[in-house]
Amino acid sequence: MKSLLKIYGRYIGSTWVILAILCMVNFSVLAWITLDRVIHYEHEFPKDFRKMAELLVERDSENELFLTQQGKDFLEEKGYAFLMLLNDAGDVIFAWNLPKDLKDHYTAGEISAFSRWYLSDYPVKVWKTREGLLVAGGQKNSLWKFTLELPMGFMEHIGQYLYIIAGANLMIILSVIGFLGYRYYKSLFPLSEGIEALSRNQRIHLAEKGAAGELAGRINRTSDILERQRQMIQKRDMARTEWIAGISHDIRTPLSVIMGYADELMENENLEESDRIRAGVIRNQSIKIRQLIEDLNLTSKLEYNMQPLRVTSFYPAALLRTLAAEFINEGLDGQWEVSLAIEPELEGTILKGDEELIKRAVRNLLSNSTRHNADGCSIWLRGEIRENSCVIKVSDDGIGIPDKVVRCLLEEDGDTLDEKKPHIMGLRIVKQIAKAHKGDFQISEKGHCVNISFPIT
Amino acid sequence: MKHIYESTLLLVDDNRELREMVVGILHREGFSNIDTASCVREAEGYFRHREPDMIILDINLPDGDGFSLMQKIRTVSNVPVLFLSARDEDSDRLLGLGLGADDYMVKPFLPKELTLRISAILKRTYLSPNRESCQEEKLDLGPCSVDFKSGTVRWGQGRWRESAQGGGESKPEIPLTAKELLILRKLSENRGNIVTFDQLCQAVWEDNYFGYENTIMVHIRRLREKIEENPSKPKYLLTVRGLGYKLVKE
Repeated sequence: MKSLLKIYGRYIGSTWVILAILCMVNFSVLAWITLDRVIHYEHEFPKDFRKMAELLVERDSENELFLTQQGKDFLEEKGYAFLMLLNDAGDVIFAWNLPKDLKDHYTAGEISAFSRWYLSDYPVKVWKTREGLLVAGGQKNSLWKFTLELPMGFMEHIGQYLYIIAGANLMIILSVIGFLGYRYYKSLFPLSEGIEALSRNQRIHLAEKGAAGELAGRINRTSDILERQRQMIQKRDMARTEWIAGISHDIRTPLSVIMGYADELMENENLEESDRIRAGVIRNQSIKIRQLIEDLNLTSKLEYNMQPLRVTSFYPAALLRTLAAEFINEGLDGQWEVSLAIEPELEGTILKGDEELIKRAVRNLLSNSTRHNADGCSIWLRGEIRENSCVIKVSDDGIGIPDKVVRCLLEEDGDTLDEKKPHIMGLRIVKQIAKAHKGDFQISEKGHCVNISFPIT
Repeated sequence: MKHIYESTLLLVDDNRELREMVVGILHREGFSNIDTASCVREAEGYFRHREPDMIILDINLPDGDGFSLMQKIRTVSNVPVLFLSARDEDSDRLLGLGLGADDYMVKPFLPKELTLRISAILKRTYLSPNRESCQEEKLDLGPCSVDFKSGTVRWGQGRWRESAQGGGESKPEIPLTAKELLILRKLSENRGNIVTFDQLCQAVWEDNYFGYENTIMVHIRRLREKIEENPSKPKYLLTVRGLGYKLVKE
């Protein structure tokens, strides 16, 4: 929406600029032409009829009127048809090339008429000289004459009127531009909304009509393609999760048999001690496989949101005490010393979430500490409240989580497993459990501390 | 039935190797009457002739599923059932237990866990007239012992601390309050393990247990006065700082 408004704004802006440039160019061209004409006119001036009038007809030594050579050249050059001179009584006292159809006497009324218009269709020019009224006729149909008469008041305000007219024109042009732009904006508006919805991964269907109908159709088809792909991916994800669930189901029965017999051999006192130890290894490795398939199953379900959260209300402080007690009860605190610290504010705080999954996350973190620090280490389990979230911190003074794993965990955004990536199922599950609760997962203290937080609603 | 090992067990599972392995485990544990069936049809045929004391039932069977088999069995018998399945979904557990199964175990399992669970179900069903009494009746704490039935602490003659209860008179039997009994019961069930404040509070006050921590401390102090020779230096009922309490194994 915003982008479309921006486009509209730019369109209006650029139209203004174009209009301004156009006006300036027009004005400049007009100014140049006018200026040029004025200069040109100035240049031509001496040859003009009015200035030449006194020089056309002169009296010779016998006091006879004659056409001067200069006058003749001028009339011929300018293409005049005839020339005559009238005295004050209206008689023709001198003529050059006078057409036959013209009279040799004119009344004052006739003179006043042709002085402004035509004499028998000849456009004429009239000038008062000292000898009389000089009348020069141009060729028929060579000149269009128009007399302009305007009230003085109007001529005094003509500048203002011009401004008003120009301003009104400008306003009309701008409102037409604005209106057309708005129509354009209106027709593109649903398209813009549709594209925005597409970018939010929503399915859309736009009305395919109007100027933008074809575009709307294409966007609709794009949406359909995306929807189909989304469904295909979902189907594939589901198939993969089901496949993993199926495999982990199928492994369970044979693994039971292996674990059962290994356990039996381990307990069998008729066997050599070394064989019994080997049987114990088989049993313990089978337990690891069991854990791995359970993790694999859970991580694939969490990844594709197929693990429904069993949300209950519980006390996170009690949960942490239970886990710490469980850790100590398992007899693990000889080599690994666990300390529990719960902020007083967390006591009595109720958290809503899948208690078993959150326990699983903390157990994974604790077992990570013991698994990677076989020689023992100190482990701290802390419960805090930070910004309306319950934060559970598990840290140790062991070897810490390698940088590569930290980077991989924090960068990865729920995407596919890269073959080069380290295998980090346990920590991935912790992160997934935090995310499934809309919580946060962080690694600090150079890989020695994992924080998981769960929002308290 | 005098002893649980005399009971007849029916194992229904379609995997022959697993059946053989489980039968072996149960034999070694001391069970002698173990029958097997590989499918729903066989199990139904078995039921027409005799009724076992307990059934260990798989869910995925070649000609049906354990859930519907159990429903059919329930119409004619109340025999205890333990589901032993590779299906680990919560929904399957809930369905199984909801149908009235006594337990639900997911494969793969450790043999010891299976035999313990089977024994527990058999004891609960056949050896005790009610559920309460299947719990331990007595708790031995060195010089004294706790009798849960009568709710008293019994001290050996002459070993009763004279200072604690005043006077030189020996007092071999001290009554416990209901809450003290509940606390002690919870601790004795988990003897050797830490029981957190929260678990103790929950055992005594059930829901809404939060905030009773200090009350628990008071009860523990009184308990120590009754069961410890020197309550300020307890030997049996120990405090685990920040977590809870622990009843030490002898």
